[in-house]
Amino acid sequence: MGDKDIALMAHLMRRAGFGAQYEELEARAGKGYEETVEELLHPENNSNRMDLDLGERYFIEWNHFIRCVPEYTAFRMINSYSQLQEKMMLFWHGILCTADSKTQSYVTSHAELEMLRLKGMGSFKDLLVEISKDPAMLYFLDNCLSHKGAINENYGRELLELFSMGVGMDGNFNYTEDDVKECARAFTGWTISNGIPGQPYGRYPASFAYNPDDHDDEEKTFLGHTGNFNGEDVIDIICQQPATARFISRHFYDYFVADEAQVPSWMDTPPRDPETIKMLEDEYFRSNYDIRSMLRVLFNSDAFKNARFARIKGPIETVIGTLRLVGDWTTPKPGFEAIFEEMKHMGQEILNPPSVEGWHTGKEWIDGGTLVRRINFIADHVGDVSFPGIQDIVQKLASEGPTISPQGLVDGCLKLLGHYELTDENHQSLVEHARKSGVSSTDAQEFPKHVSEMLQMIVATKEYLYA
Amino acid sequence: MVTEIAPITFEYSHTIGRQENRSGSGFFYPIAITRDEENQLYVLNRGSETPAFFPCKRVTVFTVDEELVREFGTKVHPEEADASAPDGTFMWPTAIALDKAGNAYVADEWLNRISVFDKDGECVAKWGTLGDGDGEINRPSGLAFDADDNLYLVDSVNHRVQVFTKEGRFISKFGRFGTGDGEFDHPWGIEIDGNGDVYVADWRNDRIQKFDRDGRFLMKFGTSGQGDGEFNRPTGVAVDKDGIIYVTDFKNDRLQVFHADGAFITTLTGEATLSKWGRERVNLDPSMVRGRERAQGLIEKEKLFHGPIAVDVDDEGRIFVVECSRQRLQIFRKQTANFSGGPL
Repeated sequence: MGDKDIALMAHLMRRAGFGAQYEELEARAGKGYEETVEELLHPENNSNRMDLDLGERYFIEWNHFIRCVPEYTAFRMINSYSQLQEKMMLFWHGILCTADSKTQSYVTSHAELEMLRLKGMGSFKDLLVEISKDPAMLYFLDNCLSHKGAINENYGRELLELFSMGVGMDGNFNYTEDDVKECARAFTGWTISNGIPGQPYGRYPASFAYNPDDHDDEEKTFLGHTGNFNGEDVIDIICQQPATARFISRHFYDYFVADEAQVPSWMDTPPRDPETIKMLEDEYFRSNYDIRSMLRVLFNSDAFKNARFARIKGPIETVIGTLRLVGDWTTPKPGFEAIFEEMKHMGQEILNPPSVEGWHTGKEWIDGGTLVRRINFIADHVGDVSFPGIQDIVQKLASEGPTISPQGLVDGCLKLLGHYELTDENHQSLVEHARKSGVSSTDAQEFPKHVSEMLQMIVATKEYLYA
Repeated sequence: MVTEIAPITFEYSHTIGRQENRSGSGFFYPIAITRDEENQLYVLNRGSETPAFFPCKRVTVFTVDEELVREFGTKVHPEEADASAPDGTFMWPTAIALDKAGNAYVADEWLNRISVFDKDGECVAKWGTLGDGDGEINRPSGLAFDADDNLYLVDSVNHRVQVFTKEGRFISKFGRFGTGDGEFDHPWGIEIDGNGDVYVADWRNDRIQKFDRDGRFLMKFGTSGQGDGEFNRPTGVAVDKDGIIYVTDFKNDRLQVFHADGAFITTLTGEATLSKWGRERVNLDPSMVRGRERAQGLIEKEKLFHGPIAVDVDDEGRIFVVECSRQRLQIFRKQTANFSGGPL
């Protein structure tokens, strides 16, 4: 197992997870790349290696998830061995969007996120059925206000525009306004039961209810098909559309491979990599809309393996990845609120996407304020030698020999951060800086500080913004 | 041949509590309960991890008739949650017990200290040192006084029980990590019965263990599961004057009741109704009244235990079950119809 294998594993774990410490990269690489992909694709076969009962003991609010759901969600992303399961939960949370700012019910949002964990790598068709019955979604997009004879188009429109097909493809519209209305008619009667008020004992999870008396069972014509369609029928038709295959494939590409154009421009902006998109579209139909199969094809493709540092990390990826790197929050402790504040100020608040369109990605994550916040957060953490992950990096570098050259220090830090790559200019600047510090002995008292300062300089580079 | 039948049933009495995030009549993640000699109830509130609610009140004193008496203690901000935290503040409080003089002892499993409050709620003492040596503690999670006013403390991460004077001087200890008799895995609640025997909720071993006052193992019951007599992380244990044992089966959302020998009697899953404090809150907001009237399945859902975490019993046969996730306690009354008969 050489550096190339570990570098590839670092790439996989940055994309299919939230990054990993070097020791984990070595262990996973030792299992083999394809074997690791399979392990990530099948969380049901593996322990997530989390002591969630202990977590609940200390974070009492996790009991029944009436509160503290963002904390729980972040804790899982940091600590779950089944990293792809959490990454897919975040993926769908950013596409099949609901926001707690409207639903105001953590316990209901939690049920949705659990559903995304369970169904997020199964059949896309099943996932659309589940999200259409999801109480948070039914409330968030007003389908509970859509009635036979008096439809509310909101859910029907977003199901087509943002959840499955997109407005258009290859310069053509994918559906008409009539399709939106007919779609909404098909979902009449899909609602939520009257919930229990939050006072005096706190909220209860909302529940799906189907009201046949309020369902419009008359004939509908949707995307060229005619029948007395209900919601499941409409979803079945949606899943048959080439536009759906394209839409999901482009989302996968943007999330896992490289920054794509933003969703609103997809009608007129062709995919960045049509060949890879075609490969994913083919697998979508071949596998009968199976998300896991599409991910398998993607992760094992050369297009994925070669797309190193081609996408800008999102705020949640940045914060969670940093905490995983330094080994913080492996067990509950007070003060988690500050972690959310970081994500929020970097532009991504768990459970509160800015709109039903989700978060814009890529360079849109970065502005003057969020950039400073991001770099300060990472630099503060990698500069703290009390963190076990940073101590491990120091020890690994020290174990290489009694002295280390300036270039050895820079290259060693880059490697242990996950085989990061710098431009020649930045690399040379860091080597010069290391040379000026004059520290070469790895058992010198100031060596840990010397290492942590180098880590801080690396994470402040433009290259480190990318995953 | 003499036949003895002692059927035990439980009648629901009433519910006390409501969600009250900061201060006043109600609770915010209640975690422990005790009673004073006047039968006033002391509920310790864990509170939230969200600083927006700080400094939420921590100990609520009230009557069985749901009259607020007083409250004391405050939550400290996470940034100040260390050994320098001001007297009378908590971060992760877990347990409360009263000595014979009525002073309240509160354990905090983050600060690793015991805070002592007098009857007026003034913090008059504190002690506790993090560690695993004799007298040192790591995440205290259960407190109970014996008849001699010695304090039995569940030292959860050290997987043992330590006995202290009420001034905090180490007396003895028993238990260690493991699954065997007398061994623990993150124990939580503790109870001392009228004989001085000690019951410990062996949380991660999903069982209850009983010891004599000197820590000698006497018996155990329970195993992991959801069936009768099985547990999913038992948190609290209480024993009434007849030796009946009550266990909050935390993650199974139920209270289980056992004979003194550990034989299963019955399970309670909750009968909660609208409390007095709850009604007062609901009546402040007409939309809340209407919301409750039209809510579907309210009675069936609202009555159930959600996170039963602590239990206490009094000499009148009342059982007080604290539910952390529903900010309330449910009160039941034991009914025993003793019948003794023999050949005519």
